[in-house]
Amino acid sequence: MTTAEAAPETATNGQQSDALLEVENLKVYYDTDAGQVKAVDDVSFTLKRGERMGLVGESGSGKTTMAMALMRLHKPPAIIAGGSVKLDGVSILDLNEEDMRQTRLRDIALVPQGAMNSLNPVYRVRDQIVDGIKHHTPRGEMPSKGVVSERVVELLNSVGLDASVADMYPHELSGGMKQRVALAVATSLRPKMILADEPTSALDVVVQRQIMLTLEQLQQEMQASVLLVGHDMGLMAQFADVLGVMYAGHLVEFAPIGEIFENPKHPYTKKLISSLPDIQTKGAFTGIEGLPPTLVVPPSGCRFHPRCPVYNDDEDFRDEFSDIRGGLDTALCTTVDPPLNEIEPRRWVACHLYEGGA
Amino acid sequence: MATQTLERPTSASTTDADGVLQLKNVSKVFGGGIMRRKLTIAVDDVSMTIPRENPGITAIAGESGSGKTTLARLMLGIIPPTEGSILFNGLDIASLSRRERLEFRREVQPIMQDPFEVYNPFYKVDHVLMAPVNNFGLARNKSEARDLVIESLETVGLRHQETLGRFPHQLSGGQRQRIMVARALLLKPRIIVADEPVSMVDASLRATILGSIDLLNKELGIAVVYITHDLTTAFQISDNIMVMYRGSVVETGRVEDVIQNPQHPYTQLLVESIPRPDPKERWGRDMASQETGSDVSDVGCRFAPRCPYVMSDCTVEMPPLYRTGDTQAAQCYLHRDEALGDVMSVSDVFKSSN
Repeated sequence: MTTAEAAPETATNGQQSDALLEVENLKVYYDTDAGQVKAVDDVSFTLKRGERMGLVGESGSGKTTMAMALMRLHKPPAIIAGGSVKLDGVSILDLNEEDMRQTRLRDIALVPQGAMNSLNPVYRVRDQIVDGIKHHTPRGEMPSKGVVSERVVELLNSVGLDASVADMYPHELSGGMKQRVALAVATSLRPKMILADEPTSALDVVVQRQIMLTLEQLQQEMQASVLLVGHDMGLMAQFADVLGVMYAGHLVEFAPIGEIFENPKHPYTKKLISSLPDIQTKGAFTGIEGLPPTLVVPPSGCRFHPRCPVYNDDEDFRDEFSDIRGGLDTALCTTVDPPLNEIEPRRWVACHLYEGGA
Repeated sequence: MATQTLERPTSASTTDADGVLQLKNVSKVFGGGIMRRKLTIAVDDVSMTIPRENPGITAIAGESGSGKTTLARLMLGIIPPTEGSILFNGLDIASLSRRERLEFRREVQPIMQDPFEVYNPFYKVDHVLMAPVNNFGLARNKSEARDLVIESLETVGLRHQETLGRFPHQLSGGQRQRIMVARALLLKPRIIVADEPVSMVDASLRATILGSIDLLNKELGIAVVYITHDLTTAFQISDNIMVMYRGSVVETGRVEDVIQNPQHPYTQLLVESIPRPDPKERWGRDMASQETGSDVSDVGCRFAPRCPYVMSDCTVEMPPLYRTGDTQAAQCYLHRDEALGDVMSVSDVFKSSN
């Protein structure tokens, strides 16, 4: 059994056109002095057209590395060591540099983590937007100045900003306004897919909510797909349709958001969900014991086994898995890296607990 | 007191009512020089007391620009107040002797927001941990010192093999931040002022760090002032909370009351905006109360321009903190009629922890 011959298919039938982004067995490695770091190892999933996917994981789990590799914006010493990425049928990894540049922003656009650092401080907002349009539009297809000018105003309005913002410099804007400008830049060429890497991590909750609702509005209006990378499960619950969970370079679970919260399958996801603080009940802090593994020398077998409540027969979790734990051969956990399997339609999990029937 | 060797003789005027740290009508105004005529009132007339017995954990919550970090810096004595005074053991921290100041510096420890700023890039991180051990004589010899440091690192979930002997730039932001918590752990001070101590770490580590801060409070009786924009962790960890908006404390009280039954329209907006970890309870789609620019008037309630319930009085004079319950008060005219009086000090409505 190798990892996911077919990627997690979010479509229930074989409608090919339904899938916008198909990632298969993607491997992104870093060559460091300490050895090869498999930051993204054999990750596969499919994102439907118009769907909003969340991708969570601890820092160092490979979520940002993977997202950047989807646009081929990964930085050395990271290299794509294998696998394929298809955006609307086009193989991203096979494009030449010039075609890749045209694909960015036009087909797949990035909303960066800190909009503060992504805007050029000496350019007016208008020029930042026009610059993006200019650089990613094929020669000869650039619309006239008047048309572009109108488009800038239209874009600013679509992200909830006044037309007058076009003539301002980044330092004149609040954090929320800057992130709105970043949204305007990202959607300027109406991409099929928007990649957002913790777009609201530096913002306050009130502004965060406004930005996320604006992103949702734009996404629905353009029928674009969104990949939201982050670690805030609350934000994912509010925004995502489907959720991927990464652990130590692997995608360990992929499922519709409601399923993840109601019936998480992977012990890591289960721990993650049960340790979420809320404002309903005050409880003791239950983090996930142990530390995330170093990826230079990952644990043998399942990378989560040293922290796994099932493998370690954690009392608090014994009841949770009582029905299926009997069938688990814990020797597998330390020797075999579990592949990502589809255990129910649209439910993918990489854990030996769910291999009993197969 | 029996423990005379540990207890410093305090000034005669000190009573328990004064607490360890007391803020009396503290305000901080920035700007106003020749170049910048516009004044920024970062902290506006805040009074509060951190009690000596069972101090508990007090959260100061607010957006960026609310003045919460300025208030923290005032408490730490990093900046002087423009008006009002701050007393440590009954003594004004503006006029402490050298010895008293040293004492204050050890007893009131910061865990700062930006772990990049506190490290000297030319020193290994060991320095930041060994310096307090040496300066305050916490260990008898080198190996004992090292054991202390390793123990404190483990408490915050760090492997000493991966931290000691490294330079600050070789560590992640989360690691640097946890080292600051470890450092505060070493000194076992009276008060810890933690400014966004978990803003740069993952959820599971967040629990570990907040858990260790909670332990400091419960086991060692250290007062914790937890400054954050995250109401969820504030709810989980604190006994009491004060919510700030543009320099004023708009709501204060027992954390369960303030978060689960907010009385100020601003607190209501904040609570409503928390991304609840439940896909079945999604945010309302209305985007009312859009953020405004910095064009806030200096008269009346600072929240009035964004407030859905704004009345004519709101723009004339700042409302007082009306007591809305035993352990809750809100600075809002909506509560003028049924209020149980005014509250002079923010901590008057705090629930005492035990």
